[in-house]
Amino acid sequence: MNNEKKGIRADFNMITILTIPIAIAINYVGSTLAGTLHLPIYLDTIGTFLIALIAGPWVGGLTGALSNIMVSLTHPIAMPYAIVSCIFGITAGFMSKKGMFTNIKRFILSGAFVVMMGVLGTIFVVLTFFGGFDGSTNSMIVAAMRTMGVPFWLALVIGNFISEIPDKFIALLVPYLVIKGMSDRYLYKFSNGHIFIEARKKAKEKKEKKAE
Amino acid sequence: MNMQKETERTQKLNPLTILYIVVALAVISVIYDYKVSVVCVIVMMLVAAGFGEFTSYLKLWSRSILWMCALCFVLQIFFIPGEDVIWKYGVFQVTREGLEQASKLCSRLFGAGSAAILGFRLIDLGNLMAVLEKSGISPTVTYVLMSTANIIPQMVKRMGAILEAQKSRGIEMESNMLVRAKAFLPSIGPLILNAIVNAEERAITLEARAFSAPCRKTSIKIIPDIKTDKIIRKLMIAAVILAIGGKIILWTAFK
Repeated sequence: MNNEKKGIRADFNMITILTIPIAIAINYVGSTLAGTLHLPIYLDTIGTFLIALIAGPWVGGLTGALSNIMVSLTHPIAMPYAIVSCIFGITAGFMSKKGMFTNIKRFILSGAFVVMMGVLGTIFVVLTFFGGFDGSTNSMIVAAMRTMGVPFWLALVIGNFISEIPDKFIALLVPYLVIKGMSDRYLYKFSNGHIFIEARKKAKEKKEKKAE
Repeated sequence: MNMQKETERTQKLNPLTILYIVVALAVISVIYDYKVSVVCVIVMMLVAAGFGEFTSYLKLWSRSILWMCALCFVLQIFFIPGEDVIWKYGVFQVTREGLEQASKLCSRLFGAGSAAILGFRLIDLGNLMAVLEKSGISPTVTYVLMSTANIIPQMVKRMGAILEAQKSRGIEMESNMLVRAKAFLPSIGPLILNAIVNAEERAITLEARAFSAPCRKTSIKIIPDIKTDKIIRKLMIAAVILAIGGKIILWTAFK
């Protein structure tokens, strides 16, 4: 668990490997909970984002893809969306590596970027595998817009933005808050952990300077 | 009783063989049109029946795949844009392009989805992982998959406990959407932190049991791999190659 090591191999250390199943389970539980509370969003990427933020893009991407593969055993429509989940993991991981999740301003910026990547990915998957309609609530919105005479492409883009914006921002906010509550000792075991610890130190120093 | 049934099932075929059958059927139904998909799904039903899982498979299948495909098909034929209108009622219109694309995409979903569910019903994940590990796949990979399958029901159970606890503390869960949304964070937060702390303990346990020791490990599970298994696996590989070859020939002939 040496943090000085870099590269994919160093990203996949023991604690990370043990956290991957937990992240997948969090994805699953998140979506179940959203269903139990009758919320109109999926919230099935919380675990992917959490692990991508602390352990980097490759672990995030793998977790996202694996998560969808697991879900697709009982719900096969989820299988092609493994590509989108993978994109989410990789994007969030890279942004986190650049320190883009260390304060709320950067969080909003990177959240917007993740949403954009998500919309692009979803449109690609939904068009290639389902011709634009996969039977989800989202495709109902698109279908409704089509009957009102909105062009196909525009309906697809708008429909996806409507569902992705609240979903991904909440799904990112949960890990953001969880990481805030994690101890340095624990964060340090993950390859991106030092980024958050350094940001914490800087914020503390700034506060002290202000107080002086 | 359950144990006995389990061993009987595993004695019938090696899990890897079942995986080959499932993947072969999925590939064949995806590369051809809906007629072949329907035949493949019928074969899947027969395979399920052969394992004594027909009713449970049919139940799961009709609840998920059949319903999903029907919904997708209806949405696709009505809303995929096209020029050549076949049927029209009010704002709804069916175009030839929409119908063609819908039947193509839905038949793929139908075949691959049915295969995925068949695999889920017939393959015992633990046995499959034991076989894969024996054939050289890293124990880390098999651990991640096995552990995921075990952790999900555990977490769902703990989620139930946390929900009950939060309800008894007075957090509203059955009001308007904003109130329900507010209940989300205090429910999922403790669950995540709890699970992450557990991961550390698990790491220590695994290290103590020589998880990352660089040596050959023995397995408690011995899964038989008989001659029939090998023959079926070879047949499945041949079927997939033939199917792909046939598709290429058809494709070039039509061109």
